Amino acid sequence: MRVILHEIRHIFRPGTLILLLAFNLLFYWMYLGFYFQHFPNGRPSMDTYDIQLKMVERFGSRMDAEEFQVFKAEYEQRKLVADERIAGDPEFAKYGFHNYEQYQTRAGENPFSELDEHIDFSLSSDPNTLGSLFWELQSREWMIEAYEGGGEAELIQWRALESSPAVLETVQRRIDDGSMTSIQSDTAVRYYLDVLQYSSLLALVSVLLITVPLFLRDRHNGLIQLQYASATGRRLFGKKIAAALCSAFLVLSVQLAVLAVLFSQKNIDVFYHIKLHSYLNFWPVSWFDLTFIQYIMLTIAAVYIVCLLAVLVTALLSSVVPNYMAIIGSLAMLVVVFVYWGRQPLITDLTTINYDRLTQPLLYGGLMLVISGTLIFRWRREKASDIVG
Amino acid sequence: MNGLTDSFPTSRSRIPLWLRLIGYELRKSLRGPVVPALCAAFLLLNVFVMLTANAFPLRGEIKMLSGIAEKYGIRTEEPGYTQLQADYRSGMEHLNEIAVEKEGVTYEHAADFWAAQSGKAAGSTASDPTDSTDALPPDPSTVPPSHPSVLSNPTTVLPDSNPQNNGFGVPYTEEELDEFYLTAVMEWYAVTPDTEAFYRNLDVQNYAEFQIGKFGLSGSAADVIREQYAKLDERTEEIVSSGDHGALFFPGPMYKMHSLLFKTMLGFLIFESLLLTVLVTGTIAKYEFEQRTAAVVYATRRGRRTAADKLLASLSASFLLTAGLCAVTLLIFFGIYDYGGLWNAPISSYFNMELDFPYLTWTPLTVRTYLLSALVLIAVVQLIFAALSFVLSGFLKNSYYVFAGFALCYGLFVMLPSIVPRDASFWIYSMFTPFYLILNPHGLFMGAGTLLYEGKEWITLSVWSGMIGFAVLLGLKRFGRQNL
Repeated sequence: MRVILHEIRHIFRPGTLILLLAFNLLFYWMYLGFYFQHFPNGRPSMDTYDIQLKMVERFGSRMDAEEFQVFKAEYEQRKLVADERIAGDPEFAKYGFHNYEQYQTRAGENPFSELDEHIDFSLSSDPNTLGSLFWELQSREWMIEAYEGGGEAELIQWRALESSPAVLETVQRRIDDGSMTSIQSDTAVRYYLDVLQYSSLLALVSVLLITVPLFLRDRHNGLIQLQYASATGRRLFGKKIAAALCSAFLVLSVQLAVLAVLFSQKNIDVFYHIKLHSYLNFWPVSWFDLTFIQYIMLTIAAVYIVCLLAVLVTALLSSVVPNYMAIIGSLAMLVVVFVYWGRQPLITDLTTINYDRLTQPLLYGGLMLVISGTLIFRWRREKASDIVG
Repeated sequence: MNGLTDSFPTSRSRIPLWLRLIGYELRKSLRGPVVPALCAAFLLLNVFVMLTANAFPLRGEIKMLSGIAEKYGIRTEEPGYTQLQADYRSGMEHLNEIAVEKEGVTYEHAADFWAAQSGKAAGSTASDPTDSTDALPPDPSTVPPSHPSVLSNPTTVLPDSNPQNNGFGVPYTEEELDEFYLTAVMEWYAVTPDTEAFYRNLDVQNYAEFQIGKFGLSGSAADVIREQYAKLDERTEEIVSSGDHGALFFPGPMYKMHSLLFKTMLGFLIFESLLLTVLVTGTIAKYEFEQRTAAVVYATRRGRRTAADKLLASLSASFLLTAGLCAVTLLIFFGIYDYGGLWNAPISSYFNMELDFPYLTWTPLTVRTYLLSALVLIAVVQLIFAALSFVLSGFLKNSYYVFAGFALCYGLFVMLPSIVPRDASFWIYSMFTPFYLILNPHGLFMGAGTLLYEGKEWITLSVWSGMIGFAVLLGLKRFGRQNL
C-alpha cells in the first residue's frame, strides 16, 4: 500500500501537474466554456426552454390529454395578444397584416427586413417586445404540433433511416403506452450531450497524460535494476498499474466535481427525474425507458470505464515501447479513433436505438476481455523477463 | 546503441563527419517500427478520407469534366470554346430527336431533361417539360447545377446496367443516358451565366462590413480589414480583365473539389506531418538523455557541438517525412480524382466558387501553382515547428514534456486572437503565426474572411523563420554551457 501511495505521488510530480492543469484550462477555454456560458444557446432555444420550465411547474412530469388542451388554450391566448398588437400597429398595416396568422403565413418571404427590425428578433430583446412574443408563439407551435403528431413524425424518420423492425417496434411501443407524453426539454438534454461530448475527450486525454511516463520514465532513468532487486521486486508492475488506476480515478473525480458544479449552475435539475422519451425531446431514443438523471449516471459510468481501460492500454504501452515518440504516436491514433468512431457508441449514444441492443455490451465486454487478457499476458512475461538489454 | 557501433564505417571518411553524424541521428530516430508504422497509419487514414469523401461517388463525372477541359480548353476566349458550344448544340439536337421519338416531347435544356427524368424516377409528377421553354440557363451561383445534383441526389435512382429497367422507368438506353449526361455537363459550361457581371457587381466592401460586424471589430483593426477588402476590389478587376473569372472549373457548389483537396486533404497532411515533426525532433533532441548516453556523448571531442548535428537531423527528418507523406497521399488522390485538363485552371474562377463568395487569389494561381505554393508553405511551416520543438527541448527535461509543451504552445497561439483587443490592428497581426496560418489551408494566398491580408504568408514565414533562427542560435549557445 505504501508503495502504491509513493507511486501515486510519483505520478503527480510538479511537471505533470502543471501540464495537466494547463491542458485542462486550455481545453475548457477552447471548447467547453462556450456551452456553460451560452445556455440556452440563442433563440428559439431559450424561449422553448422557458416554456418547458413553466410546463413542468404546471403539469408535472407528464402532460395528459386534458392538460394538453390547457396548453393549447394558453397558446390561443398568447396568439390573441399578438393579434391585438399587430392590429394596432401601423408598421404591420403597411404590409397588409392585420393579425398574426396573416403575418405568419408570409413571414418566410424575403423583403420584410424593415418589419423584422421593427419586431426586433434579436437575442437581447425585451420579453415584452413583439420579437419575444413571436419567438414564444413559434416555440409553442412546434410543441403543439409534436404532441398532436402523436409520434408519426418520429416513425417516419426512423423508417426513412431503414431501421430494423425492433427499432420501429420500440418507438411504436413508446408511443402506444403514452410514455412520449412526458415533458422533457430538448434544450436541456442537448446541453448535457454537448458538454458530455467534450468532457469525455477532456477526461480521456487527461488520464492519458498522467499515465504515459509510468514505466517509460523508470527505464529511461535506469531504475529497473534497482527496482527488481528490491523487496517488492517484480510485483512493482502490478502496484504501478494500481497506482495509475487510482491516480486516473482521482483526476476523473476532480474533473467530474468541477464539471458538475459548472453544469448545475443552470437549473436544469427540474428535468432530471423526467423520462427522456418525449415528443419534445428528439434524442436520445433509448432501448430502455430511462429518466434524464439515469442517462447521466450511465454515461458518467461509461466515461470512467473507458478512461480506466485507456489507462490500462497506456500502461501496457508504456511498459513495452522504446521511447516517448512511439507511445505518443500510438495514443494520438487512439484518440483519433476514439473521436471519430469510439465516442458515439461507447459514451454519447449509450443504449440508443442507433445501435443494436447488444452492440454496447459486446463492445465493452470485448474491450475488457482483450485488454485484461493482454495485461495478464504481459504480467506473466514481466515475472520472467530478462532485465539485461 | 549496439546497432550503431557496428555501423561506424572506417572507409567512408570521405563523407564529412557532420554529414555522417546527421545520418546516424536520422537512423537512430527513424529506424524501427515506430515512425514507419505511424506513416502507414496516417496513409491509411488519408486513403480512408479520400474514399469516404462526398465527391468519391462522383469521380466519374469529375473525369468527364476534366476530359472536356482537355478537349476544348478552359478559357472562353479560346477557339475551343466556340467548338464546345457548337458540340453542345448538336448534342442537344440529338437529345431532342430521341426524346421526340421516345417520349414525344422536346427539352429546352439538357438540365430539364434530367430534372424530368429524376422526377419520374422519384415517382413524383414531373412538370411538363414543354412548359420550361422559358427556363433560365443553369445558374451555379444560386443552386448547384441541376444535372449533377440529379445524379448525386441519394434518393435518385441511378441508371443500372439493364437498359429495359434503367431505373428511370423511361425508354432510354444506358448509352443514350450517358451521352445526354455529357451534353448536360457541357451545357453547364456552354450556356454560361454572366460571370463578368457577377465579379463586377461583387459587393466586396459589404463582405468587409460583414466580417467586421461578425467579430465585433473597431478602430484600426476594422480599418485594416476595410483597406484589404478595398485592395481585393481592385484585384477583382484584374481577375476579370485577365479572363480568369470565366475559366472552366469543377462546379464548386456540387463537387467542392477545392475544399476536398486543399482543406480536407492538406489539413490532414498538415497535422500528420506536424505530429511526426514534433515527435521526431523531440526524440532526436532528447535521445542521449533518455538512453543515458549523454555523459558519454557530450564528453567526446565533438561534445556539445553534436547538438547542431541533431538540429540539422531534425530539420531533415521533418522535411523528408512531410515530403514523403504528402507525395504518396497526393499521388493516390490524383489517381482517384482525375484533374486532367484542369491543372491549369485558375483558382479564382467563378465556377470554383463553393459558397456565396469566390476564391479570389492575390496573384494569378492555378490548381498546379496553388498546390505547389501550399506545399512549399507547409514544408517551411514544419521546419519552423521542428526548430521550435528543438528550442523547447533545451528547457524541458524529456521528450514527453517537449511534445506537451509544443501542444500547449499551439493552443495558446491559436487562442491568441480571442484575448487580444479587437479595436487595434494588432488583432489582425496576432493571427500572423504559423499555427494560425495552417488552420485554413484552403484560404491561403487569397482574400477571404478576416485573415485576408495580402502577403500574410510570406510575412509570417519570414518573421517567424528569423525569430526561430535566432532562438535556435541562442539555444545552441546556451546548451554549450548548460549544466547537464
